[in-house]
Amino acid sequence: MQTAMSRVRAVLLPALVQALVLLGLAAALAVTVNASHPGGLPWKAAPVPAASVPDAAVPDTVVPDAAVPDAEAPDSPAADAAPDPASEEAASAPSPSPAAPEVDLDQALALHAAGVLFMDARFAADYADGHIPGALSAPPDLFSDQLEALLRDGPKDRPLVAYCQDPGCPLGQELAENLRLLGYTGVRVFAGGMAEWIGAGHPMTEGEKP
Amino acid sequence: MNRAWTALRVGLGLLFVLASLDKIAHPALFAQAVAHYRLLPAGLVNPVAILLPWTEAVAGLALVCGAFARGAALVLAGLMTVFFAALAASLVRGLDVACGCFTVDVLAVPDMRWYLLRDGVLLLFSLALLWRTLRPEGRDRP
Repeated sequence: MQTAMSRVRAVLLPALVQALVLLGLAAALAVTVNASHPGGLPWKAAPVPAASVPDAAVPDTVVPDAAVPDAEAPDSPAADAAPDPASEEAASAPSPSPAAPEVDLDQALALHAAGVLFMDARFAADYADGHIPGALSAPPDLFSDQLEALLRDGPKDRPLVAYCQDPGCPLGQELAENLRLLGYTGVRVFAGGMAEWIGAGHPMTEGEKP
Repeated sequence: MNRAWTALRVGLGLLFVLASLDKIAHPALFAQAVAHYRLLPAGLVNPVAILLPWTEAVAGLALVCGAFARGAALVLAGLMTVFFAALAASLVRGLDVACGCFTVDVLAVPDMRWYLLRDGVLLLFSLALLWRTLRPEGRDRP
């Protein structure tokens, strides 16, 4: 028994020491590269679900899912020019729908670094010209079921950030409203959009993939 | 037989090095993949996303070179155990997460059962390698 124990120790101990050395080396490399890499992550992520915007800003009374396809179906490719039928309907509802909470560039960066999913509300061609890395393309001509399919793996209360080109573009707010009608409760809008993102020198991804 | 073990050691090491590259190149996307598993508190997602790829890369490289092979085999067997458990937990909880294993592409078509099978095989391989490198008779080998 004694010999078995000592043998285990003789074999396992060096392996553990080696493992610790390797882990230390990996950690040193990770810290160094993360600090020098332009896309490095902050070690302490912003508290994502409880970010600066209170969740109460998003009303709990969400349109039932069953009603959504009807409300969304008329959404046509011309949606950016014409007023969004979905938001018109919401506006005529008894309780006026407040605009989705907005985040500024710093908050958007923190959310992005924390891995929150960004959604590009511009048309597919603009998306292909350059978008925030990792952002999904959600152009205004998507039907609601296509929008749902984009987010297939996520829970309804996941944080999401919608954005458009610049503060003058309404598509970000419209996408946020459509997402809210689909039952997503954690949607925010990065009002500065792609223009502010690039203007601050942050990287973008070109092409049709996130 | 020795040759087969060497092939397993180098092959497994290469696999881990390859798996780490995409994650190292895209830390923010990998953090997103980690977060999707919904296993870690928010504060731990980024540190894990920063450290994990390099742990894979360093341990994988050590296996390929045959330096510190026992420690590397221990680390990788531990990682595979964690990966397998995370995938299994996601499957049980009905989460259809993007694996984040070899690519950080969140749109990679997920089929959790295939991932689980693949990770199960890799887990067995890494455990076999660990057993081999820890054998007292094998101690004179690196």
